[in-house]
Amino acid sequence: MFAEVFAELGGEVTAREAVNVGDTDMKPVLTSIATGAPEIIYFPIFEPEGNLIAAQSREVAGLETVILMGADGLFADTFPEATGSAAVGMYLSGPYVDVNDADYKAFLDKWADQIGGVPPSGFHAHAFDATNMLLNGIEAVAVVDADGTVHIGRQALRDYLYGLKDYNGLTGNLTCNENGDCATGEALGVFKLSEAEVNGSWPPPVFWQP
Amino acid sequence: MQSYRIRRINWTDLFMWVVGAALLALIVGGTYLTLQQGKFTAVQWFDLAVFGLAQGSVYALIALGYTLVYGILRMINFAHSEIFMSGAFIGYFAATGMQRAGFMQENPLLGIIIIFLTAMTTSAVLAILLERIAYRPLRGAPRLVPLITAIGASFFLQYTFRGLFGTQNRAYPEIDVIKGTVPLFGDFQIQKIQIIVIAAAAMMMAFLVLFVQYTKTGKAMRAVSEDKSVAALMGIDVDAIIVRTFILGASLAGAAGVLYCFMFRIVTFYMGFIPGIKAFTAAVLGGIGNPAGAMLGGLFLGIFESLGPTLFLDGLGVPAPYQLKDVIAFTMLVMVLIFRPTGILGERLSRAKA
Amino acid sequence: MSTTQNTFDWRKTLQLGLIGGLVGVLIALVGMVDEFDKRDIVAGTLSMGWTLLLLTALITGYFAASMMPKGRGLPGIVSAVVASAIFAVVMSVLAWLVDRFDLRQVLVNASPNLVKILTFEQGVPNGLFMLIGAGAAVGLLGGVIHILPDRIRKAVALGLSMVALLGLLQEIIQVSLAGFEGVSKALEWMFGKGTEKGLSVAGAIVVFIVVAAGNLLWNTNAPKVNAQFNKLPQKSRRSLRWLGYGILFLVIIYLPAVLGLYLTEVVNSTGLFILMGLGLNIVVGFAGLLDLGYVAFYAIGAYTVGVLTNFSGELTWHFGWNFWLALPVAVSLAVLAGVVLGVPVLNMRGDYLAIVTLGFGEIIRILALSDFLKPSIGGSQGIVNIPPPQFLGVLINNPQTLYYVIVAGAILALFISQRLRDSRLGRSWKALREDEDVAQAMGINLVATKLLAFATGAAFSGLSGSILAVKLGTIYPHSFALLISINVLALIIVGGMGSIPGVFVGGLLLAGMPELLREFAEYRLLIYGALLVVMMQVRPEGFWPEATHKRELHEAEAVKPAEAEA
Repeated sequence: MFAEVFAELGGEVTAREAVNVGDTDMKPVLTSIATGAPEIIYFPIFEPEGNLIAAQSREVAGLETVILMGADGLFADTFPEATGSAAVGMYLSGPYVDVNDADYKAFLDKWADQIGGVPPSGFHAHAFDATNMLLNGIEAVAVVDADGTVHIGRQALRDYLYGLKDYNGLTGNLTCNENGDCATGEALGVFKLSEAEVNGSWPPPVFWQP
Repeated sequence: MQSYRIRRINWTDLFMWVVGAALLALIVGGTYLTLQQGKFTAVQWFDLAVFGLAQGSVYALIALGYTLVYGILRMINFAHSEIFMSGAFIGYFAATGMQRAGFMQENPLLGIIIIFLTAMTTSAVLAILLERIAYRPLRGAPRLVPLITAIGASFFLQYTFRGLFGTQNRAYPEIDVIKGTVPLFGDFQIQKIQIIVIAAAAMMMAFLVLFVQYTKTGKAMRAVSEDKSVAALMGIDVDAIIVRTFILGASLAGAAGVLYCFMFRIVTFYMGFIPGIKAFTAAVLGGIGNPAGAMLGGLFLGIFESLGPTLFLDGLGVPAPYQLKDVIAFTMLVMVLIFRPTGILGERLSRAKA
Repeated sequence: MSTTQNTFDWRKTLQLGLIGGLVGVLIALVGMVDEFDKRDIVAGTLSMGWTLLLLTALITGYFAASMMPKGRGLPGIVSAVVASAIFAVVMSVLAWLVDRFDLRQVLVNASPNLVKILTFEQGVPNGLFMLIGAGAAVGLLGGVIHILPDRIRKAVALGLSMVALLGLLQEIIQVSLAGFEGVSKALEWMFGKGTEKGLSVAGAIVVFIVVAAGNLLWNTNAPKVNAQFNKLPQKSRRSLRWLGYGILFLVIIYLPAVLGLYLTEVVNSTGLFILMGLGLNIVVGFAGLLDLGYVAFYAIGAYTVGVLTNFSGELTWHFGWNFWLALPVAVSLAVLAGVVLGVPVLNMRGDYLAIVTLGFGEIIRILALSDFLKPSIGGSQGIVNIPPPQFLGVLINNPQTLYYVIVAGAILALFISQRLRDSRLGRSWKALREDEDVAQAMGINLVATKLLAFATGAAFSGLSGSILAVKLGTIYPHSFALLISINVLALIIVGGMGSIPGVFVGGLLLAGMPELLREFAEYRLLIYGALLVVMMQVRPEGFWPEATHKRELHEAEAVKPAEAEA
């Protein structure tokens, strides 16, 4: 998907590779990528493989200054710390909610109060919305029968969720379509990591937003 | 009887020769095509080889632990990979502690030595406990029994570490003195860390060889591995020698853990599994029970893994050849064992004593 | 030998207390106490987390008592009390440390909640004294249990474990039996109402008494009953036996209806493991060939069915067969793979065999995962849209219908295993297991015998994998990790190597129980590991051993006394 859209927009894909979960030595694969002299490496994968790719790319001839970009799988506070200096200047796409939004602010305050710090990974606001929608749905469709047993109809719950309109969540005004997709597609952003994140600051500043 | 025998040998052997020949053709063809494409420069080949050598040195250090224990007890110490992991893990706490206190920046060399000592001690203590609690009561039991115990111990240790220290990704701090590269000639250069890993591993292996060859304990170890009961008759305390063997193997694994983390930095509770399997493969490849074989097997496997996918598969147009790295490693293992069932330097163990 | 005849051995007591304490600290810091505390065994009174600690204290006390020379007297009991008190002291030191310093940066489970549990929510100084007192009391109990005669001790142990088991499974039992009017009333009394989990206090006591007394009665009367049965004339004996089979058959038929969806699902996944276990039992248990790559055949079975029946058209080929057509192909391919793997390893033994088979399993998994084969078998995205099979017009798309397919498979495998075990081939396998060279000298064709073992084992595993494919409807490479092989191996070892009933026991213990206790999944492998280690030391022949195997493993012990005399 990414590669196709990228090519459509005029980019040239020099290499497409894959690694396995549990791999640690990324040098061979990075060396092969280096032969295409790319300007950017995009690796939408998870920790710890993502950390290893980022760190080792700096040690492969030809990739010392290549632009690195990851996705939400690496959007966690442990990533820059565990990657070290190689993470400086790296881009990450991930979920984004405006911190000035009053509801989100209240959410963050509650988080700091009950758990401490800031949410360590990206999708907290989305998860919060999804859970609330689901709980609302259960409340709406659940039936209590004579002997006190609670029944939650599977189809009824599904109908409720698919038909949801204008739910006011942290991530925006949500309306579900016939496939059950409810996200606005706008609560996303691209972030840029700097020295501060490597030293433990989180979340990083947003760099671009749709 | 005679005709039956001939027919049988022909059938299975023929099958294996065909498979072997096909694989060989694939390797040669792939190599030729890759080299012909000229996609990779000499510098890149050199980098890959050095990297493989560094990785292989770590494998070799771990493999020595497998092979030493196997030589004496004739058992696969499956939990050895966890001993490697434990060293790296506790070494991490030492490293981050010193980093935070600023000690690492002031006395980097002393700091590194402390990390090594911590890791090696942890591994050794764990190995002593393991031997005492899990393995010693099983002397003389049928062979499957200690093997299964070892598998159990491996899981137990892995998940104990997970329970104690959690599942998050932890990483060794970046140590400035071991960063950067050393230029050789032209465009060729080597990472400092790779030099350190290779040199440290070579030193430890040399030490091991001298130890086994010339010290009293080393001689006793060789005697015990030859024949336990005769060794006991000669006045050797067999149990003590076994414990020392475990300590020796575990210290090497602990050191390997630190070297591994200097290269890759990430520490997790499951980090031992894959290097452990690879090192065991290396030990078998070189001929299990034979320390020189373990070293050779480790280096061989490291280089093979690093160069193999690129060299053999890239030219054939296989997509994402690096995913198949382990397939290559294991296929090579099977092939070596078929055509030389005792490994590269092994005695005839798999048939005779095993 | 010991200088202290009939006196108190301080050193040993202290040693045991400290070892027990270390085990307790480990259990606490690994997080088990905290996590298991959420589950009650006796509602509101005893949580499972505490049970774990109490058990450690009890065992410490018991061992301390048994360590004393002439332990069945006062020194034994004193030793038990002291050792358990030392255990509690170690635990309270831990509680104090955790309370005082925040260790969570390093030890993630050293939480304030742990202190709360350890101190009975009484805060540090007071709670700690209570903890030490409780330790001593439990130690007393351990000492007393040690004094009891064997018969009673066994009954008590069984009663206590039954209480623990019922307490743990309360929710499942209550939900699945809720439909039966009379029963649910009794259950309500036994388990307490609604939201409370675990047994009620009265229920726990009754369960304990009934089980313990029942066990005692049975043990005293079992020989008589057996004799009575043997006295019966041949004919009525046979009819009694058939009656037993009949009842078993009815139970098997009606089981899914009684159990409900969730429990049937658990039974199904246990059944798949048992099916694999029966196969591996042939390879490892009968023929003694240690195979660590057994999951490969499971994967081949599943993938064959997946490729042949898949209808979504994402793959390069499109077959669209139905399940019953694909099944024999899947099993044959698994058999073929078994033979192909078997040929190269014919000459390898023991450890070499283990590592090569392990490598084979990994090769299959990595190939399934690779981009290289993605067009044919789906790569990391696996194969989706595997249609459910139809049988006589019934669509087999829920656990309760699939159950019958699995039961049919298991009965078939059981029958084949049993017949093979007693056949000429089965005896060849066992000869192979005992000594390959002697077996060959006796005229056994090693090549054919080994290959047949691999092939039969692979067939069962392939069958199991095929059913898995339709059970899940989707297959991913991640379902075929090395862990499955280890799991199956552990299952047959715990049950008893080479023993067919042992496979069922192992399956229930290692595949069924963990499924029911999903919330403790985090500790599943930790407990597995410990279980394997302990099992190999205490009872290497397994819970339901095969006769010959047991004899062989205890040979050394039988010889030892003789040697000692000589």
